[in-house]
Amino acid sequence: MDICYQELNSTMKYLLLLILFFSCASVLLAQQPSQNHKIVLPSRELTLLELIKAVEGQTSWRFAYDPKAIPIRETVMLANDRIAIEEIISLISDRFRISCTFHGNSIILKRGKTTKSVTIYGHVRDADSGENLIQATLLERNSGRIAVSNDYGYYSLSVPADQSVSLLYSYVGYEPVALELSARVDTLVNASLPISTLEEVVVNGSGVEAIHESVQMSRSELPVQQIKAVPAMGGETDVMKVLQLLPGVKAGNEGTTGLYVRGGGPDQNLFLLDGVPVYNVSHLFGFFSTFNSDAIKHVDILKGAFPARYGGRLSSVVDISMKDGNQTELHGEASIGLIASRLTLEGPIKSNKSSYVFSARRTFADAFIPLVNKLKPNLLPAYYFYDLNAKVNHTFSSKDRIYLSAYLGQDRLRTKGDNDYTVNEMALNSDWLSQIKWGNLVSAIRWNHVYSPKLFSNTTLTYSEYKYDTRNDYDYQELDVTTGAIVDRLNSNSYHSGIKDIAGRIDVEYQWNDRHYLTAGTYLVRHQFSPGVTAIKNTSSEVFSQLSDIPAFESQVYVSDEISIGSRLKANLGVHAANFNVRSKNYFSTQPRLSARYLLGEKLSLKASYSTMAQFIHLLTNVGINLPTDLWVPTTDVVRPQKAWQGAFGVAYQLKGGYEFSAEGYYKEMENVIEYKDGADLLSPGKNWENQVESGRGWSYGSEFLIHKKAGKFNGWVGYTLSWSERKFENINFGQAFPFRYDRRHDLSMVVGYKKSKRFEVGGTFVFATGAALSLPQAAYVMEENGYEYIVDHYTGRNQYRMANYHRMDLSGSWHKKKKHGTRTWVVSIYNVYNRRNPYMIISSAGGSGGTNTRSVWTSKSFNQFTLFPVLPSISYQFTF
Amino acid sequence: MAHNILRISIYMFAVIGITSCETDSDLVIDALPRSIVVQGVLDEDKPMRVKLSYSHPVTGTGTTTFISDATVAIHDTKGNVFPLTFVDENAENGNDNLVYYVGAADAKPVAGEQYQLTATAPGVPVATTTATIPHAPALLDVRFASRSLEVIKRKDENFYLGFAPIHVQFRDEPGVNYYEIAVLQERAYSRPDGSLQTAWYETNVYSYNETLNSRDINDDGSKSTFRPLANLIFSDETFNGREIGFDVLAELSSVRLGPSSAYPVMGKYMVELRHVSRDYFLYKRSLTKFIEVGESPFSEPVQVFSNVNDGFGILAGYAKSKALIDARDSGSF
Repeated sequence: MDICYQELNSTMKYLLLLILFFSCASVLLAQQPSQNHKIVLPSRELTLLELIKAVEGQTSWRFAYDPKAIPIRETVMLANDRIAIEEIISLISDRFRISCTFHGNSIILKRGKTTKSVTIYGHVRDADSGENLIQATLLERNSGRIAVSNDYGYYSLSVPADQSVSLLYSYVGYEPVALELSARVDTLVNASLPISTLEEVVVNGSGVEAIHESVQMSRSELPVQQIKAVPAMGGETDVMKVLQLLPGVKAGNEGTTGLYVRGGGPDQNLFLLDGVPVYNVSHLFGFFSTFNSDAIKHVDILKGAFPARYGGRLSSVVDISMKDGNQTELHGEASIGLIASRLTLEGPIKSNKSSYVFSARRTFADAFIPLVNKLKPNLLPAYYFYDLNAKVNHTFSSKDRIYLSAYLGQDRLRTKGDNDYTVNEMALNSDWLSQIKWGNLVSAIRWNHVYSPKLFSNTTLTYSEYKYDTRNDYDYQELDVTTGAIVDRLNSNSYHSGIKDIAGRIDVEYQWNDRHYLTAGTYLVRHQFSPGVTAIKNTSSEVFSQLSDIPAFESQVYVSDEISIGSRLKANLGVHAANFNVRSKNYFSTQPRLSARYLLGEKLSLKASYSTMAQFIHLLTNVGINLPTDLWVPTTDVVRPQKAWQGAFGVAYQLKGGYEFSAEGYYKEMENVIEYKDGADLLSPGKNWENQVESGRGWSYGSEFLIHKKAGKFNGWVGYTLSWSERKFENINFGQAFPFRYDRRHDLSMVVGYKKSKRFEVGGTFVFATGAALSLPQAAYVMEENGYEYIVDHYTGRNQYRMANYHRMDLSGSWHKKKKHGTRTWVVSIYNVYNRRNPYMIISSAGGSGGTNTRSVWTSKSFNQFTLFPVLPSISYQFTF
Repeated sequence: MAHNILRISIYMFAVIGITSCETDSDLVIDALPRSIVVQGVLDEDKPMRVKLSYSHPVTGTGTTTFISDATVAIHDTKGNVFPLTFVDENAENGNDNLVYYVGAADAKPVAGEQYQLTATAPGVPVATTTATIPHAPALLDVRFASRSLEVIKRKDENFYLGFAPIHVQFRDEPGVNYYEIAVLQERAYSRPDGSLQTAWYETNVYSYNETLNSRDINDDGSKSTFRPLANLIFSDETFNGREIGFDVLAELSSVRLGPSSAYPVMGKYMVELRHVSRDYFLYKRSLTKFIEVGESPFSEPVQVFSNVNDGFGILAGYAKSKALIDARDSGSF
């Protein structure tokens, strides 16, 4: 723990100190009955009036006050149900800012400030690595005031000046650190929390900002260690697939990383990597996400109740923070699995001043492709993906810190071959090469500055790019029959599309006083959409076709205030305004954001929220699988901005033993959501895309239940969602509402981790979900048109058919062993333990059709259900040092 | 020991992993029961006529069965009942087009009237459906838009098609209306005795005009998207209650042209502007799309509109205005 006191004082503070001194002195001197007498209280949660009556009923003390001036209906929480009068007086004085004067056996209560506040501020960090801890909690135990560290580990808390304050810093998976101090002036306290070595670290509900105390609802925060402990397909830990196990978040097709949050589409999620939007979050056609878990420090998902600072997407915000790098010593982590190998290095550049982290991941299946292709030429294409994460940071002073971070990830698919043939007994040959590459480049430079203990700012410049490139070359020989000469020919085509963002943002946080915490900021971004460029080249000519790039400017401004109203009610009121300018058209949106919690008891609270969101960009995507051809396009005259509002209501309860329980109900409405029209070509979304999509409405509602234990020997969660999600479009399904493709009535997830010893731990998951909705014909008939007969498939409606229910169990075991230079871990996991044949897709084989003036014959048409992942065991080896 | 367990585990997982692969299984679809399929378009110029057949399962094999023993009647809102009788003009050679139910020759649909059809057949639910006949549209002007044919290369094929450009002008009534433009071309054919006979044949009609919500021919150089069905069908969404004029292209069927020569417009054309019911519009649009998409697994499935209760198919109606234009007549330009 490193503490330094910063003198920011003035004579006013000494004056207040004197006032406080005399107030206390008057309390001590004027007393007649004993102030040490302990009062037995009927409950630990009382109104001020009940407290006064309890004192008066058990002692000869009598209170004098003006009931209009004193908040006698406000409640106060007490640590014990036996408490001395002097403690009660201190509590009343501090809690309600009431001056207490003793006269004889009377205690005179007067509205008035007895103390001045000072600010305790600083960073909460990992004691070993110096990593900032995000969402760590600081509790001032006497007053019950709470501060939570921001994305940079910074916190700020107002406490009474010149009074003893008891601070407790805590964070999941770390040992809490307690500190007593009395501050006359604003005080910098950088708290360093050691990683827990205990079997169970349970800080009781009053010790941290437990789920019921936070004003934020519809949020799930997952510790990275818990993410890594979840059994993974192919042994490849995947953040996105763990997020899919949370209530309210649904997976798309099996094995893919798409998120469908509270009835929203996959394009309605804002993925932030260190605050920078990432547009394509998947590798290998959606089976793996782009987020390398070794490089990640913190993952947060918001499904609703969006704070004002977020904007640009309708359904969720997935905020992922990369590690900052160990500040004290070199550490590393390497692993090899069936899918990919990873290496992460982190360490100080200058101890406790600057550090770096570098992480790389790459698949290696392409190394074996040539061996397979030797057996059968051109059987498999070469494919690999990689991710590179890098970050450096430097602390210039206690007030300034700069971060530079970058992410580069790419998929590459390549196939080539040749062919020999003869024409007129002349030997000729041809060869071809096809390659596709797609990926993201994301970078950011960030400056944290502490203007004053109460004012923190973060200034960021970012660049984000998603690019898709494909190229096909075909070289061949032709025989010129007139001359007998062999002529070399070339046919080549290439295509690329993508999106580029250059952006800047400023966020400020201001601890106005102990009742108001203000945040405000602005975000400016220049988008450049590239819907598609095609170049065709052959021996004799070159053709170049380009859908012109579309620049667009988006600006956002927000302000919010987290207000404490009494001891029970806390609210976050904010507004987010956004403007989008494209092709000289302007779209403006004002989005109110409200959320509140009301404490019903020590461990139980009610929460409610209302938020509106707007989205100015759309993703043209093949439903189901993530193809690299998925295209981000802007709002246009035809396709309007998407808008949504969402209301949620819930309860949160802190159970014993570190368990959290939450239940939420929500209703969400969306406007201008897009859907492919009947018959739209899903493989070439860029072509006339505005004509291929239809704008309409969507709505979803449901209930979510979650019991979560984040740390300890036994940890995990059980989540259940009961929900409905529908869409309605004027020209789809003949204007009738229909279920969203990812409408799942029931969705259950169970995740369990158990650390049997330091050497062995097991993990398990079980998921159950109602089958996906899809359109399948249930009858057929013949219609004659223009002299021809056609066999028409009859659909009872779009997405009216349900696939079989989905369920699956995964298990994993990890064996750790300390070695000379570090710890090695073997991880064995089994995906789909009981080999459930879950449907991945259903496709139909072609049937017969009628002909002109002949009686129609319909021939065998069949439907095949494909299962992609049967039982899949995997093994991986990890080494950390 | 631990190493042995690990080694055995690896071998075991390798065997399972290699044998695990993509699998598929036949899916049994919950089929809807066999029902009556109605196909009828009521034209105010013609006797009421519908075709009836049975639906069949999506999977399996069989032959379409046209219904010959159904009881079919059409009622109007005034209480009149028009029974339809079965006609099999050419049953022996299996010509489906000539198997139908028809009403009395003088019982023609009336514009503005609503008709309800009831069809009863053994062993299947009674099918009912309704059609409303709109009023005839106000056709103001029809003429050739050019003296030359429009010549367009068909995408991915090395031949050119000729189109007669025709200008059509009419007045739309306020409210939601749907229209269809059909163009019939007079063609001559030889009779067995060597004499020439003329008849009207419907040609395919296309448009560049997005006012008609039509992109039948793309304006991106490929001029490629040809609909499989003949007529141009559109709503008045973009010109509601106004007078509207536009050009359409009537395809000269089976005539392949060279790329660059100018070809003069020739022959006679009958242009019909049909004021169609909403059901007719939805049915035609969806059927066109259904045929276009075919069995492509990479397209959203297309639902074909049906307005038959306890059955499938369509009963719809239209009223029309028509005009004759003749290339030999200078007044037609």
